[in-house]
Amino acid sequence: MTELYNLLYNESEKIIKKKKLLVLIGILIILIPLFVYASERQYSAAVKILGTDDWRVSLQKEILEDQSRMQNVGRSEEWKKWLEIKIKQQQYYLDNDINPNEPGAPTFTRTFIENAVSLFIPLLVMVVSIDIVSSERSDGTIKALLTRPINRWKILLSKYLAVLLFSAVVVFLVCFLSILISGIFFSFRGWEAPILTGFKFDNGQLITSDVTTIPQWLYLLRVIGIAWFVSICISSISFMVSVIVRNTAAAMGIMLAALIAGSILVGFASTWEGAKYIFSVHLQLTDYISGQMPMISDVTLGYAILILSLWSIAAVFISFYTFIKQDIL
Amino acid sequence: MENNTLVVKNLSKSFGNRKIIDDVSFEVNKGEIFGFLGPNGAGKTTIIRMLVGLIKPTEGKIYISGFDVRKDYKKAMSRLGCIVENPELYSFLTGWENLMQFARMIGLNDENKILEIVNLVKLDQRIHDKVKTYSLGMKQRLGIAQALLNDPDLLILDEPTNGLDPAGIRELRDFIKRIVKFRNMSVFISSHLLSEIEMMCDTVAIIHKGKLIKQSPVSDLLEETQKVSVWEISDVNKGIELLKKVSRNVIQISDTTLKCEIGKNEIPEIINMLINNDILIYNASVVQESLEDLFIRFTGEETND
Ligand SMILES: Nc1ncnc2c1ncn2[C@@H]1O[C@H](COP(=O)(O)OP(=O)(O)OP(=O)(O)O)[C@@H](O)[C@H]1O
Ligand SMILES: [Mg+2]
Repeated sequence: MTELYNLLYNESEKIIKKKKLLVLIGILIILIPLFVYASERQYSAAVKILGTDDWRVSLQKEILEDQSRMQNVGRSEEWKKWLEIKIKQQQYYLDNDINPNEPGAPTFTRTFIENAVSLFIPLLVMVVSIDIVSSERSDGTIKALLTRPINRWKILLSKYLAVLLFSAVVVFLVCFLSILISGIFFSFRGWEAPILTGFKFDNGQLITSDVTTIPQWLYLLRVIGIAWFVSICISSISFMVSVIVRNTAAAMGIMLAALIAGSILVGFASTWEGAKYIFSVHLQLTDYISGQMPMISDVTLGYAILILSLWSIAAVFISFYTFIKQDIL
Repeated sequence: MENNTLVVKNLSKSFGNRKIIDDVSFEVNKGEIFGFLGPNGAGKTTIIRMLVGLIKPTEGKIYISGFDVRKDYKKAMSRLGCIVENPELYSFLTGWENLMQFARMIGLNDENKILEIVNLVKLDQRIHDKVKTYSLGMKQRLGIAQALLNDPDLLILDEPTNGLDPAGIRELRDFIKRIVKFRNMSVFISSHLLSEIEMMCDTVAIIHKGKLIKQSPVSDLLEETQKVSVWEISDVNKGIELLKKVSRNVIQISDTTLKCEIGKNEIPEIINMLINNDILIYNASVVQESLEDLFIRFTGEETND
């Protein structure tokens, strides 16, 4: 146990001393203010188009419309229930004097992570994990590492744990810096604001029977949880590529291609069934809780998580199997 | 086997269906400096990689201090220190951080002991600098320090003098002799330079094209080398005729010098013969056949370097 702890300590020291995390923080510190500024522009443009910055008036109007729609006969009970929840949500904004469109730290961070979960966060996680084994190989230090009285699987396990640890650090940094920077620009308010969730899809039909509202902090926590899960999968797969491919640049190229191919293939997935077995088309997991129509009709949140988990488990298995048997040349 | 720090039995290795190492066996005794001599591509590094457990032998067994490298991997490795090819260390860490990394791996947390080794390899001035600022000689010494952390019975160095200048080579040689004396361990050194092995080692094994072609004490090997005599005389043509009576291989090197293969005892005889024939002798010397020539004699062909 102390041996594993020492090994993990060593791996962490190497990752930190390579200064990759600092570069990563630098990227976030430059990019997040950019996004913050963009959403600020978007907000003020919206205000300009609506011609009024009295959001209370427009909210009230929306509530009235929904109420009249509820009177409509011929609508299903389910539909009415959903409208009821929506009205309650809007009423909450009015009662608590919250402008639902006004950006604050929680709202910004939530939308930022929702947008970053399928490509930006995977890229950052990939950059941190991709050279964990391949760099030791190309620097030749693997020979010093693997001639110690420690079994190979233990060395590799410490490297996998380090990758998991630092991918979690990446997700934490993204959230922390996003909340901090957007909070300073806008405000730190909006944690309790109700957010709609619980949408389901059945054969392309939106099912609203289970829709409820939850406070934004809880919603944000779920989004972060999803981002964390995605980062575990990406770091596991990057880890495998790092074990198999000797050259760090080539390894990075492979992961980059896989991630970008995934984001392109999402568009084709409605016509090509096979795409749903590729891990990188399933990264936009936040869509399932926010009520977006998923691209692949019969894919559910559970199915996407299953595919990602299977890929990760297989990746870890292949990594250990090849690494333990392999001749180190 | 008790007295053998390293025992190698019938070691073979194939890559695909190319046999790179073919049935190599040898032993390294306690406290001995063992030279492993072979030209480029002979298979030295491949054998060393098998000794340290980096690659799996196709056939054969390796014991370090009595522990089978494959079956008792951890115990065998705990008795071993090594540098395979170049001293590759983490260039983005300092020398000290590098040593601490390897110390943690063997559960060593006695900083005084690490300091002692740092002083031994004379790196105390620069140990807290980043390794990427080190010279090759310093990296080599840091590599040795790293290999000594676990008090090994056997130190394996693969062409340790590669890239070092003559002063660095001498320093390394003295250093290795010193640690062997004080720490009573065995050292296994590979090299493609005969002169190096001659100066450093007690025993030499010669490997060529993956086969062990000779193993003997360095002193025996030196005795086997033939003597060559060089004669600077006044009448070369007459000299050739006379020398051919007592020696094979008489060669004219210049207008006034001849060279011939000859035993020490025949020299007075030749001197008398030359004087009796009124030939003046300006210089007569006996030189040893170089190990280079010897090597060619054993392998029957030129080395590639
Ligand atoms: N992975 C491999 N696949 C095929 N052949 C290999 C492999 N590694 C080494 N060889 C071959 O094995 C032979 C021995 O190589 P090795 O590196 O052990 O030689 P060496 O004695 O260390 O040479 P040098 O003095 O140049 O370091 C060479 O002919 C080389 O081409
Ligand atoms: Mg070599």
